[in-house]
Amino acid sequence: MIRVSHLFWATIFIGLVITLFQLKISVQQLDDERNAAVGNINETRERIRQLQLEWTQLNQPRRLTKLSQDFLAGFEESRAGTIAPVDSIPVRPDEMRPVALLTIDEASNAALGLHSIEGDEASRIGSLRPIHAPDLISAMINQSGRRGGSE
Amino acid sequence: MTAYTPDPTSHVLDANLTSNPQRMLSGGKTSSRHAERSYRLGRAVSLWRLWLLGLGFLTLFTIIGAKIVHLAVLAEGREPVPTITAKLDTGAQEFRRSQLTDRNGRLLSDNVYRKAAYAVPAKIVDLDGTIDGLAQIFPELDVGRLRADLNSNKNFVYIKRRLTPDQEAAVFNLGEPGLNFLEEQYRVYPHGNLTSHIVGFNDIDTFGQAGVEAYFDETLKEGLNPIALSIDVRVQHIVAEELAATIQEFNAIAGTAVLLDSNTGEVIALVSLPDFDPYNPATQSEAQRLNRATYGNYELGSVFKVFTLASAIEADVVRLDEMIDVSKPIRVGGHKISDYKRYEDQMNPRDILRRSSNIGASKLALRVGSEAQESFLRELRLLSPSTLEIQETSTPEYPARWGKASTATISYGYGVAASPLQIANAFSTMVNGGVFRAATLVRQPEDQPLSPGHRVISEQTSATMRDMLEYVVREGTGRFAAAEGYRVGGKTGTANIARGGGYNEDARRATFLGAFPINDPKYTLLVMVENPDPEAQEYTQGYATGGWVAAPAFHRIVERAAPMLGLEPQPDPEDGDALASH
Repeated sequence: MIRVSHLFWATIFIGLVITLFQLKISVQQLDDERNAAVGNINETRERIRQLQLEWTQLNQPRRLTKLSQDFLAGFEESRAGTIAPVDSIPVRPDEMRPVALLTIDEASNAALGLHSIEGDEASRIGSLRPIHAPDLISAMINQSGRRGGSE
Repeated sequence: MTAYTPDPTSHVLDANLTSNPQRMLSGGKTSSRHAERSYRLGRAVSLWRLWLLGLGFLTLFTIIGAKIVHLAVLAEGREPVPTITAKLDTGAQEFRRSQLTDRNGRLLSDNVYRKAAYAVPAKIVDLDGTIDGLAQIFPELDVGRLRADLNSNKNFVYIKRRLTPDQEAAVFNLGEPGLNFLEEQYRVYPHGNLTSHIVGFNDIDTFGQAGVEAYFDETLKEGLNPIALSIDVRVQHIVAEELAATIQEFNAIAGTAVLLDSNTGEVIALVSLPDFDPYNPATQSEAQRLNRATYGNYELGSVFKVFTLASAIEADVVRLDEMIDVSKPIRVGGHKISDYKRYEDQMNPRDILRRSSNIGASKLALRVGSEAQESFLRELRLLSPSTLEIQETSTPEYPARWGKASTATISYGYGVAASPLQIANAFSTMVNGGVFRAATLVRQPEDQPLSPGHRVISEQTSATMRDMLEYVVREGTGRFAAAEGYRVGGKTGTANIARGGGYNEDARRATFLGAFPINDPKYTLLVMVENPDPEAQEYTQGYATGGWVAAPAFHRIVERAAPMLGLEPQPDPEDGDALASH
């Protein structure tokens, strides 16, 4: 009986030792992986900081001013005259509004209620019909309104 | 005597001892007294030897077992690192000084790692070869001292810090096991001289020695988030460039310019020229290292009239339409007070400011009284040390006995010497609606309400001051400060420089202090030029006053910086279709 119990405890002990050993090895491996990951993170951070520094160095106002003077004629520093609020930009007159070039057939045009430009210019462009952009937008709004109404 | 009963194996031992194989086989049955004694002695010796051997094996296996347990369970399982290197390397990794950035996140200073070469003298194999090799790589090394160090009992000797990669490779190629490297931090200032008076500098161990680096040394050492300063490097560059151009144009010796947010007190730009190289502060002159904006105490002359007028209006001792006699010089406490130039015989307060009349300002100050004047300037923090977050701040100087004469001279800027930054800060209060908020170098969060500060003058008085200051620029001494596209208001100042007990009539400081856009001030700007030469430029006709020297720099800075600061150009108040004009 005593010998059996000895055997039992010896087995338990050996089992514990092996488990503990394996645990330690796996913890060490995990620790190594963690250290490697931390090392990589630190290295990347360090690289980012170095790049930040280099970027700052390259973007020194004095340097940029000189580069701008040397290579960007016409792109001088902003002055009061070159800045204006958006509201102060005048709206273009109707005849100067941009046009959209669309390939819309006459039937669709009629359905949309669009007013297309006819004449020499239209025939020169061919199938592309120049259309007043505001007209197109209002037509689209009308169309979606009609669709909404029919549903 | 007890009968001897031999154990079954004893005959083997006995036979061994006597080298008698026959006896071994016979089972030891031959007995005699002599043989028995001999047998007992032999057996005891054998047992003793066996025990000794067993003990030896036990000790050996115990040691091996203990070592196995130690290696398998307790030890790190890695190659041991020399103590000194481990300690130093760990030190370098643990401590990383924080970055300093400007208000837009641009780096102002940061730490980078550089290698340092060190020696462990006890490990040096070829002493002479090492010294010769190091002397070739670093010609500036003191060979005698190096030899003494390497011969000493020290276990750590710095050879050279902040190595270049080439130097590092050369030291490595010496192949000397007693030489080693460690990584050290090194502070870099990407904008160099441009921000040196603000950022300051660090010693070789990256501890702050001047500027913000010294003021926030403890916080920076914690290595947490970057500290965002209030300055804008782009604007700092513009201010520095224009100030340098003015100093050169007028052969001046120095100058300073401060741009503040009129409402929050944030310092957007702070320039003091000459400036210094933050990498070599020890080699720079005192004049270069002096931060004139925060550490210099100056009497800035007529810009003080702004405070005099505001205190008089606030104290209700003068009506805006009241005409004050300025036709003759006045005498106060033995001082004769006169005007630089004679204009009208009588002036209202607006014209006193526009014409910069010393007589008018003195009369108004005397009405306010010494006590009230002192209290007013105290409220504007012009009589107490600056609280700016920088190492170099000064304590203003003012008369110990504040009599009538002092009251009169202080009214036009002689008698109280304060730093340009403090004077600009006080001026902001005059135009921002009347609330004093201390100047700061730390960026204030935009989404939080302004600090309450403390009210010095009413909103009404502040509005009156804005109107008067714009009048000075439109029709007074500050005409050259008018900027294209922005409404500007401000005051000129020209003060002789104190020398001994008096003033040097041939040396002066020319100042312009103003705000823009003056109808709703966002920024306060002070430009001061020290000792400009009146003969430097013909077009000034021999003048080197604030209006001729500093005001033009002011308008150039406003025209360049305002668009960058996001200020929309303004229409001219008298001609709505055109922009405010220069």
